[in-house]
Amino acid sequence: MKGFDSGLLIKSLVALAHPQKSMPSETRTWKAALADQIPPHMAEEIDTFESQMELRVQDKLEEKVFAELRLRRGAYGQRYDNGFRDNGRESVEIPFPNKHLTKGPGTKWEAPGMQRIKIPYGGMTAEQMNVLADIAEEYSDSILHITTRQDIQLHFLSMVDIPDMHRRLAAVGITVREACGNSVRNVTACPLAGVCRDETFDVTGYANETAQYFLGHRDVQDFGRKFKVAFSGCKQHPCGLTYMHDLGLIATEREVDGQKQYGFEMYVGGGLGAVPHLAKLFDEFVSPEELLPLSQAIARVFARLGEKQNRNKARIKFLVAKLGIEEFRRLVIEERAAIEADPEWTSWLGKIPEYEEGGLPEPLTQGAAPDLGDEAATFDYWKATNVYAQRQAGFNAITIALPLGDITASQTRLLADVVRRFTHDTIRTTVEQNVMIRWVHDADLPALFLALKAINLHAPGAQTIIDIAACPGTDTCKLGISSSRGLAGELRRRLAHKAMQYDEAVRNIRIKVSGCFNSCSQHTVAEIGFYGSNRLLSGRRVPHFHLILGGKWDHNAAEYGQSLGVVPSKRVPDVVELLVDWFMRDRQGEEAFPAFVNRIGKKAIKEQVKPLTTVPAYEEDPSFYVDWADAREYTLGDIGIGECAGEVVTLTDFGVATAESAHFDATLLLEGDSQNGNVQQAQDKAFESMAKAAQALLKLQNIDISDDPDAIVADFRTYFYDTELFFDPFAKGKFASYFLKAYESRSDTATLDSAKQLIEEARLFIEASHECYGRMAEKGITSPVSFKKWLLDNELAKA
Amino acid sequence: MSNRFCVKFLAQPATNLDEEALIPIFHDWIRDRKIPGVLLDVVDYRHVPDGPGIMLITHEINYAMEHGGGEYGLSAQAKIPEGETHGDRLVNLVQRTAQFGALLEADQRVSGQVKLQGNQFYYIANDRLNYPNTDEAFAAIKADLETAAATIYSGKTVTIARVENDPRERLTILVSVADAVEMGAIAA
Ligand code: HEM
Ligand code: SF4
Repeated sequence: MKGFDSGLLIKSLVALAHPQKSMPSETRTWKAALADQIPPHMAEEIDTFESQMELRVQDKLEEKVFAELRLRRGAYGQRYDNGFRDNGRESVEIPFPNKHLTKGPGTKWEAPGMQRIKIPYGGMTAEQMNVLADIAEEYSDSILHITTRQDIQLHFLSMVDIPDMHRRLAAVGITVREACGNSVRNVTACPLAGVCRDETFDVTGYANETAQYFLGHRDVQDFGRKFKVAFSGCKQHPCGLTYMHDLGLIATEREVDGQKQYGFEMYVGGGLGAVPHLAKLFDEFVSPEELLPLSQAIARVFARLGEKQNRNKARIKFLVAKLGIEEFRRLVIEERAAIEADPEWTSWLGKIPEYEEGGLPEPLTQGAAPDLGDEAATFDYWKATNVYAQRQAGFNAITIALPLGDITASQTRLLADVVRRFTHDTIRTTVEQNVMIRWVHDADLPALFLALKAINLHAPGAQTIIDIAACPGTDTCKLGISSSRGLAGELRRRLAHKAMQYDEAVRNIRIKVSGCFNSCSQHTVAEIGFYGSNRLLSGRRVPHFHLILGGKWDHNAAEYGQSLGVVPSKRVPDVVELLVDWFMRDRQGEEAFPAFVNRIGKKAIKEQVKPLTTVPAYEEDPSFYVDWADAREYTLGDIGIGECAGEVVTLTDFGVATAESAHFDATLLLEGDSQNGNVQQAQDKAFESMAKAAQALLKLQNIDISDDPDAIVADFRTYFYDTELFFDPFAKGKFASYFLKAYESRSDTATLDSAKQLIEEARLFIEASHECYGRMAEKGITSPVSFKKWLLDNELAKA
Repeated sequence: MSNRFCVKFLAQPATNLDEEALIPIFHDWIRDRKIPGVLLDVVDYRHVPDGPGIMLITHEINYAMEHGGGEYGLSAQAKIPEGETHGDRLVNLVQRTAQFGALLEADQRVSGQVKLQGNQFYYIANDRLNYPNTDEAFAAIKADLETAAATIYSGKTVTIARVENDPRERLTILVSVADAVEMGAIAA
């Protein structure tokens, strides 16, 4: 929406969101309080985002661009943020006070949103947990939610709190950068890495170094879609889920001339989503030295050749399928040979031993173990389901089963204490939406159990049939069709009663529930999976779930399940019961559930399930027409446009946005007292903003254009000035000359007037860059290839 | 000037409620605009031990019938406080919360199952930067609480005491009067 009175609005927005700013007070800010605790580059990123927010409020930054900037900082939209909500009878507009303000196309600024916080390989420290707990209380609803990719999410956040929240996270070394958006997402790893009995070697350090290398790397900014990387220490277990990732790495070893060498099996092109693909083997052995360069070459080929327009075909899996793995491999190897060597490819190898962990020298429990009293039976059950004996004799990894991945802020804080007391701060999140404490002494298990019981985190049944994974679904996700969390909560309550009677084979069945076909809960690889759907019956909508069987969680998720058709949501618990009872009754020997499904056959199972697919008439039982954990009559009215990863925004869009925020900062520097030395800074900033805009345009000629102003000016002169590509039909070369002139006089001492003038010129230059970008799009210049073609045509036309 | 704080009224110890019953009640309140504010959504956290229970999210306040600290009760987190001074804002939040509580107590679907203790409430500072969990911050805030309490419990002798809790938890203060007070009386 364009053309509102931004001056008035900012005042009202600021007054509304930061009441303290509307009146004088001594309120301290996190920005000032944490100034010396945040690494400068992170502080700058956050400041930039804050100015982009301000620009968006003033409608000086396009919605679409702002949405992708926000997503790349993990700040997603949430259900109902289009400003409408169905109350069970009709869709009603939500009367937000400033409805015209938006944070993305059709997304209200004031609507609550969520934050995804990146936790590479799931590793956290007690200090980080304390801060996560604090921000969950102060900005969210006191709940931390662990996701299916080892991240943490907070919900119901206000946009105005986002920068401070990012600062508090940055001060303890947590970044939210690229938690979302079309870039490299969180790098996951098996939570047992380093303590697993079956791994080839510990992948922790490799996962983290890969995450750090790609964070903000220029080669991962121009993808058509997200890119997920996972590491696993072995082939046979599920923990890494490498086969369902865009890039999957499995630790391996080989012998060459009697020498043992460690490396990775590399897989590409896996992915779930609506059209699941199993990854293809790219290379049987990639040495640690080649891990990053080869991954980078893959990223570059994906950025260059991957689909950009149709996001439904944009994951790398489609590119690999289109080219074939042979051709894809050939292109990557060619690319690998052409990339300039980067010392950071290998500089970290020496640091790998630092990732090694250990336990406390002695158990805390000396002498007799504490008396478990009435809890002895629960302890035994907990020990059977939640405790894993590490490879290192005498130590254990303990899974804390979090219901639906949720934990309160107070529990998080007290858990941090437990972790500190019993271990050297060794805890990780897991893809099953749990947390795992590693390095607990055998002798400490009873004491640890009691410590967890004191904070209500001692639930048994981790990684069993009651430990159900669920995506956000209709609770908070705009794409949700039916209530995955509502269903998972219900299944948990029902199964918990029976779980202790189940034998191990039944307990080992995993259930995962997604709210729609996008598979965010990873239901395709569960033994029993569900995804949300709906059916229209006699004019009324009824929430349903597809039943998915045949998925294989083992062997890194080596097989995807298939749908056996839909079941009404309210009958899903009966379907689960039917399958479990049947399995207990007719199981042969040591047969596991997937084998049972294969033996019986999907057709026969479908027959049995059929009676449970009927829906009673509304008059007979209206509860079928209401979803789990809801009370409204079910509709599809709340489904919105999902922010899977935003729209594809080009590097040039981003670059111009960066130029605009630098320009904005320049204007701020001249606000108030101009005698304080800010004048020079303002002038420098103004020049910087022009250089950024020019650089943004140059990305269309050479995506590797450097940050050096000399290079930018030289190339701008060659490709935009001399070719007259930048020339405005009316002003001709005027605006370009502002930039070239500013470059020549950039070492002159600034005066208040000269700074003001340059800020004005910078504004015109950035405007002209926008215009130029628009004209280029009309001419079909959208990539280095089309740029080159235009240059050739242009030369010919002139000759 | 504090903007971020919460209040919590505890339920009578005998409260025995099937929390699921709150879900349709809160949905109806949103539909029928039973309480002031921009009403947004209902959240089910029944699965979380000692968790937020069932929440009703509004643009201005997050309400929850929740189990924090092992104590069941009605809490309200101010997000966009109303009022000029801290004291005004507190009075406003307490009144809003009491309106909510009175409405809930009166709802036929949970009749007799929910009873809140009106004669005391927790004030929880929700801003660790400006109001840390310290004696100094308590001292700085105490006068505001006294002013607000004089309006909330007019004519009664009020006790204001800092709750001894984990220093990492939020600054929490118990405001109380001796005799029983109905939610409805505070809501007015
Ligand atoms: C077209 C849109 C989307 C697609 C295709 C999609 C697909 C996926 C897939 C396949 C995963 C599974 C995990 C994995 O790869 O390991 C995932 C993870 C996830 N998705 Fe989505 N998703 C979409 C949009 C959304 C939206 C709108 C939300 C909710 C706001 C959401 C929430 C999540 C969450 C919480 C996870 C867990 C993982 C993490 O931390 O990265 N997704 N998504
Ligand atoms: S599976 Fe669907 S409903 Fe669930 S989070 Fe993903 S997009 Fe949303």
